[in-house]
Amino acid sequence: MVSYLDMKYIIFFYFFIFSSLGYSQSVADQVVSIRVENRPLLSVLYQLSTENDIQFYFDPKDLPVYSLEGNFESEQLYKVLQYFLNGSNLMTVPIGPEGVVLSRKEKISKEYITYLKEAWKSGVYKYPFVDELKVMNFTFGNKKTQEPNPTLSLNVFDNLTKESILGAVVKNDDFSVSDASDLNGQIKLTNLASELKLNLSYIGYHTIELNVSIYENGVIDIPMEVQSVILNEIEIVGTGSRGRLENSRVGAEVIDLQKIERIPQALGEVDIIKSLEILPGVTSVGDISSGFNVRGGNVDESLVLFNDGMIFNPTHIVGFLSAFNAESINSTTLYKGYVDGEFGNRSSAILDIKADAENVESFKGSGGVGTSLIKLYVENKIGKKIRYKISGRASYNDYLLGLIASIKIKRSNASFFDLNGSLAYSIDDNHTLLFNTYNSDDFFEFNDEFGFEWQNGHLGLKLNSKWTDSVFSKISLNKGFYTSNQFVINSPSASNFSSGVQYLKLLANVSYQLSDKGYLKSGVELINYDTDDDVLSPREESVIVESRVKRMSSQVISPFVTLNFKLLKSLTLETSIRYSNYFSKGPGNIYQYENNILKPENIESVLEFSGNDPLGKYSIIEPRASLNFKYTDNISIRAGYNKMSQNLIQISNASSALPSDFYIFSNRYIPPQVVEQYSLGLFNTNDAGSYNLSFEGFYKDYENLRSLKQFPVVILNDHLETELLKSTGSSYGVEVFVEKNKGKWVGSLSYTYSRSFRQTTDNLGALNNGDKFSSNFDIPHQLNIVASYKWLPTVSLQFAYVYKSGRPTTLPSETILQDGFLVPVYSARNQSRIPYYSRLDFSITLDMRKAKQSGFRSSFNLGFYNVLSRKNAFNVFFRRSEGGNIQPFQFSIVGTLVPNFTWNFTF
Amino acid sequence: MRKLLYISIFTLFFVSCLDPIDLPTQQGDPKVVVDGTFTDLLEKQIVKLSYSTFVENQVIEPVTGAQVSVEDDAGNSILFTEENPGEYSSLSQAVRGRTYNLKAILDNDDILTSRIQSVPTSFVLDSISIKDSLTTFIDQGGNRRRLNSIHFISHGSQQSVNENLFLRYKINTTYRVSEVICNPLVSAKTCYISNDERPQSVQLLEVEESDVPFAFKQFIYFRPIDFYFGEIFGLDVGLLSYNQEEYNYWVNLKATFDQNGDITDVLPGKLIGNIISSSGNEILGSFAVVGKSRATKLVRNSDFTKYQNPYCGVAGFQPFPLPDECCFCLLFPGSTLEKPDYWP
Repeated sequence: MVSYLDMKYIIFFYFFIFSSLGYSQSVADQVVSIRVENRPLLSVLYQLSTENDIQFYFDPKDLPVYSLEGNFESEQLYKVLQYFLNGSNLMTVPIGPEGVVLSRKEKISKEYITYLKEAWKSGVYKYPFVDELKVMNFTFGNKKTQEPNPTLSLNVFDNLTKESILGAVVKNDDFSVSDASDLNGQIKLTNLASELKLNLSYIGYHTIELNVSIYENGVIDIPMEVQSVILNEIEIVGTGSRGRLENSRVGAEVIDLQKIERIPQALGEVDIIKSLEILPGVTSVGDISSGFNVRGGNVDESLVLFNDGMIFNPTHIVGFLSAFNAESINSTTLYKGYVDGEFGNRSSAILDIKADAENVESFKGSGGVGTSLIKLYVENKIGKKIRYKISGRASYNDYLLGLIASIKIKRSNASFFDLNGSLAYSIDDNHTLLFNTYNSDDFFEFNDEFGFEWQNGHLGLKLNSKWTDSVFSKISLNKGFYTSNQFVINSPSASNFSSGVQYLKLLANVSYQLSDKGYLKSGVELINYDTDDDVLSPREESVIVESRVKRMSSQVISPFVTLNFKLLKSLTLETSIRYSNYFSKGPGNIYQYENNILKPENIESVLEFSGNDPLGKYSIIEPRASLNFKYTDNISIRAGYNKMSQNLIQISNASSALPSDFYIFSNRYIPPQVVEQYSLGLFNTNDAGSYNLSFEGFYKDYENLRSLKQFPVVILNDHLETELLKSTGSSYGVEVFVEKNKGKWVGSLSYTYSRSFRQTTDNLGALNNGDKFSSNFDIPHQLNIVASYKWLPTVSLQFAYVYKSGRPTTLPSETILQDGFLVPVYSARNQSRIPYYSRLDFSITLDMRKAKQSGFRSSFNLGFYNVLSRKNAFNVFFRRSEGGNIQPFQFSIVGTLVPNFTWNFTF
Repeated sequence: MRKLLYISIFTLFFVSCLDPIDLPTQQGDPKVVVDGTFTDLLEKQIVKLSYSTFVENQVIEPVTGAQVSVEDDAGNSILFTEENPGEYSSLSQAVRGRTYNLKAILDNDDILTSRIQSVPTSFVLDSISIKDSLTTFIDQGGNRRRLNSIHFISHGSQQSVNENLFLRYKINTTYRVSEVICNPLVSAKTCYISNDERPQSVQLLEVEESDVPFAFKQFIYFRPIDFYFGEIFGLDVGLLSYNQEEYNYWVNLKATFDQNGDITDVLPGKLIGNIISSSGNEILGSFAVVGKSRATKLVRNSDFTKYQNPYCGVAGFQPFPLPDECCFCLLFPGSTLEKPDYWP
């Protein structure tokens, strides 16, 4: 942002030059009109230039890249420029009757002005829009050889990375031809006129005009060029409104990182996982949770993939901050409806985060220092073949703890780091080898009483290949782990309880273009899980005796096929089938029960098993389909059916998911959980793409669920089948999402009405008498409002409001006296609710990162979490009050307003 | 800026708070609650019958006029008499090798019976030791406090353990207060005040079957050092050995009782005991046949380096104003003139 002194200097200089040269009447006072919405300065200058015959001379690299807003009717040019240049550190100097120089003030000189004029006249500098409309002419055959109904195939890819471009739109003027590229960047056009004039466009790339004379089948490879000058202002990942219309996958949400920056964050840090909650259908049980719930599903039903590696606990600080540095992320997609057959082994949702180095172009980096952590991100290219990126974050809160004059605080401790890297090696134009790694480590100790430690990690190797113009393959190998330790200290029963899971995953697929409009992808996923021993060990002077159990683990083999097929011009079908094969495997103990009644007292014998258990094998066919009907250019209707299964259960005997939760796998007594989902949605955008509206409804049916029985014994229990009750479940809901993308005010509103129920079908102690009851994450109403106001080009204000119904809880119905203890007796499970959740956050951002295109640039964020200081209940419970009576208490994680400050920078 | 630096992730946890709230609970009809043990020691066995109460009410009403007995597998029936309203007692003991169950006939002719139980093997409690220490604890308001206190530690040992044992501590406290002479015509009495401050945690211990000698020492109770120790303070520790089903009841009760509201709380469940009624009405609570070992500890002023003033002072050094209880010690809640059986 330009300081007050700078502005004075510029205005003074402006008037001095204009008046001294005597050109002010001809240029500065020239009356212009312009309407600008979310456009960079370069675009503004181009419009002023072409519509008013004014020549601007500038170095394009000096222009800021933030977006501008403004509306001027018959206003003098100098006022218009003064408005749009505010905050840019650029000076204006009129030269000649129709010319204006724009320059950074430290560069200004007669020689430099002369240089700029010459550069523009000679074409060294030019508007990228001038050649934006690249024209390509093609002729296939001639009238004599004309074939009936020839097909035109387009292969659209990035000219630098050779990556296929998904969602590039080709159309003619009257829209009689209109289509979008598929996963492999391919478009097939049929029923064509012989002479075609087509426009191929994709957001962030130069538009291409195709003049095609087609008399026989033709194929065109089209490398699209990035609009580099304005790239930074373009949505980083979003497919845009048009792309969303073309997206055939119901329930697929592409997370726009730039939009996430509009959300005030609890710790001033852009948070991928927390930001998911602005999407309809995504929620969590409170301020902290080691995961998120999607459409009535448990936390363990959502698979988080980071560069294809599975992340079991995607959070830091017991769930307060996500474990990924947003700076390093290329794209984030949440699949909550239809899920491509490539993904599986979880039954509600897939969060696919890509952060590899394949698209790195040059050296750049970013970092930040906040009140809780420090971070750094760097990417670069070495030669023509090697690209890399590396990112790390670490907390330094122990220092802060020591400054606070409270024993309780001084005795708390939390620290974490996450580190991820990616190396891409281009073997040749058609083959790229990627090496990815991720590690996170957390330590949390509260008040010298208890704590958690947990680690995620994985290493991955991936080969992307293009074999022919229509055949592509990907093969990846990942090895990862999750370990956790819950500890109790300063207690006679001081102890550590550790557990862990490891995996080796191979994913291979081949996709190829079919002769008609669509593509076919097939592949296989193999996962080998191994569990670490669950170990309870003494700590300090403790009465605890070390003990351990070994749980059975699992192997999964899942071949899959996906077909994307354009049935009609406006009707696209994507369908997958996945054949999941689960194998329970040792080493571990298998218990045998008298009369097959799964109760601890019925245990007859124990088998020590080392291989695959033939009775623990399950095969499940998972058909999935999504249909997209493009009703008009602005409206699409989608319907989907999705069946998924999972063979692991996160064992959590607390109100929310915790780092200490551990995983068990399906065995001969616990079949994999299966979820069928039906969904229907409507997506609408206006012509300008400035407003989006989506409306989706879903119904999910659960089979083979397991619910923890009352007072389960979960620690060091290797026959957990005795603690789990057979259950079914269902969830349903409607989701509304309204978004405004352009203007000074941008933001979104999402509302979800959804219900989630469970019902035990086990005759070994059914919960709630076998009646249907709310699941722990049955949150009927959820409202999220995010708004951002661009006050100045570099200053914006962000607001976020969250409202959620209180989650279900179990309350006592009476109290009894037992040997002197006044004990609450709890009623049926989840028949009451904790108070509703309501939170308003606010932040103000001074973002100078886009004021120039290179060099060291900063942004500053001052945020206020929970502005209303509302004490939102995380949990309610009953305990003896000081008066000796049993009384309800509310536990709030965040009980007041919490400010934060972050300095971010890019270079 | 310095203030701002203080704000961090931890602020979020530091500002976490507990607040009492109004929360409507479900209310049903009061249920009969059984609370009793039958030990293998010859002592006064007590069975209490009461009604459950609404969470908001919390006044426990006794079930009076019931006919309570314990039956064994030999056809014997041990009758309990109602000593206080809802409190039925009998001087008797369980005999190892027999099985027992509770039978209670209510005045509405509803018959309550417990699960039939054998007498579990007890674990020998050798002694109780004390340790003078500085205790740090979190009070009801969540604040850390420090107190000079006495830690009581139990010691147990056995050459072998023939079966898995499921143990619970039952702790009773008593302290003595001697009146001063307030009225020359009335002689000063000595009162024994029991269980004024019961330990508010359920303490359980599982011992696995073992051929080798097994010994343990375990912290079981602490008491701030003040006037309680001015005369004599007594700790009566029973180590009750349960059958597994009845022990599980206490495990579940502990999980219910130990709720703190924090992230580590387990999901609460419905506490189901081992009593059924002939009418099919739901009966709460539990009756347990237990093996019991016992150890007591008396602590006096001489056990400390620092002298503790008795509640009513000593001759010539009495508190002013003199508390009424020092003239009439039965004013202490729960006080009696009857010595505990282990008192010197």
